[in-house]
Amino acid sequence: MKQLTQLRLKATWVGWVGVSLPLAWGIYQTTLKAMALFH
Amino acid sequence: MHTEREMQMSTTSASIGTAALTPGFDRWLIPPAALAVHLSIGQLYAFSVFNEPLTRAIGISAPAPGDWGLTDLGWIFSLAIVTLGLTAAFAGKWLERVGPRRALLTAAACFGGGFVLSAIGVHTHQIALVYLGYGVIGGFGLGLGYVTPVTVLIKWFPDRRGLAAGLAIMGFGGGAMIGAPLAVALIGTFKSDVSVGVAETFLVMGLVYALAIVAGALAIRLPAPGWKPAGWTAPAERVQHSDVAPREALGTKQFWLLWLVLCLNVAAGIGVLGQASMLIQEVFDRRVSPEAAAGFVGLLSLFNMAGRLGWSAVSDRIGRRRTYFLLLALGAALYAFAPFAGPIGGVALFVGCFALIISMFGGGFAAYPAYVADLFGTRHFATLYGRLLTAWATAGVLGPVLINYLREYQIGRGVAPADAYNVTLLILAGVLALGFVCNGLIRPIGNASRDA
Repeated sequence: MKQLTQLRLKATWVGWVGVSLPLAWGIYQTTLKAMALFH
Repeated sequence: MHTEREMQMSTTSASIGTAALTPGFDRWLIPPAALAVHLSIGQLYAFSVFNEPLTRAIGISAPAPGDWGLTDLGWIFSLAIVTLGLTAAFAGKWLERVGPRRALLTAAACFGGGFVLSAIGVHTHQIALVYLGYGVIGGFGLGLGYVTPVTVLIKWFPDRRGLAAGLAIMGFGGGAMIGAPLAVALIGTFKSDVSVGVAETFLVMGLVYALAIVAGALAIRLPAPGWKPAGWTAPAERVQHSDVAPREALGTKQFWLLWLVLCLNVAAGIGVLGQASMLIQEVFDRRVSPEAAAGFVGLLSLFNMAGRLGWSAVSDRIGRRRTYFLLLALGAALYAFAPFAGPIGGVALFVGCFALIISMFGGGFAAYPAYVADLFGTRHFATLYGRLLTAWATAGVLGPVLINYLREYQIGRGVAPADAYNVTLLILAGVLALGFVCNGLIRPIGNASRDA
């Protein structure tokens, strides 16, 4: 049971990292585009 | 040893994905599962990236006879939005019956499959296949993919409905931020002397998004009926109200007032969002370059996303009704001030003004599911939320029509383009003020005096 719970917690971490990376990339790309407003 | 009833429940749980018999499940796995779906379907708002290359699908380097025009291509997005809206409105009951996992697996097949059919349509130059693919089949996947994760989040996070739903809806905005540069990169990779690269891009994106949604679907599940977080008690006013059935809800003034609040908030924001590049260039008499205007659009996207997360989290602290009072009043004031922002503070103040306005447009979207759940309960949430989203589809048509019509009317009467938006912005202030009044008339069902 303890192993299953730990596995589930790991899955949660993997999930958060898994969605954060492409989101961070998208935000970075959009920020680069937004910088054109200040040049 | 499991009894026969427990075995039946286990089978039912496995098929519709409930956590009734899976102790130790971490509910914080649900938000990334929901985000995986919304970050995928949010690609919808980046679809316009494909329009220009598709106008030269035959000519490759330039449009040739037989190539599609922008008007033909514009229908792809419109069809997708309409199908999304209709699906959200009418698939709620089915979703509640089959459960979120099956609904999301269907969404994955439709959204991904829609891309594949559209790839065939581009390759064979049959736009009807693209309409059917991305517009209809993809639109069906969009509708299921939009409502399902929000429904699940609302049930897992009764203690912070705003933040939970806001995370998913923020993901829809984020999806466009991923979809646009991804599409540009893939088109750049696949384009050649014989192809503009769109068909191949559709295939890759269809596969990638289908896999992402499937990953979300496999992780997602519903809590057991009556489940609540350990140590949390529902606030007294929520305990008094039972779930409202859809037929009963449609007969309440709260339903229609809530519909109007969403419609008016979205109409005011979506028209501006669609015209943002032209707006800033014309208001400043072309002193703002097209590249800087594109930067303005990018900045608005960032604030749209931040507002979805920020304002929905605020609504958990101060309540939904107060949050909407703030969004609508501040929004109206900013729209009324916007015509003067440029002359007073130049581009910086103008940009700041609109960044805040758009953050509130996003916030109005993101806090909405929690508002619906607070008023009508969670049992029929998918059906009711889906039906209320028809306000979004309506505003999606009305908003741009209003902005464009008003602008053309002004210019037709001899008003300079730089000033043509002033009356429009004041009218949008009025639209939000009307939304403010509608919000003020909303009271909890069955209780005349409490503030939500």
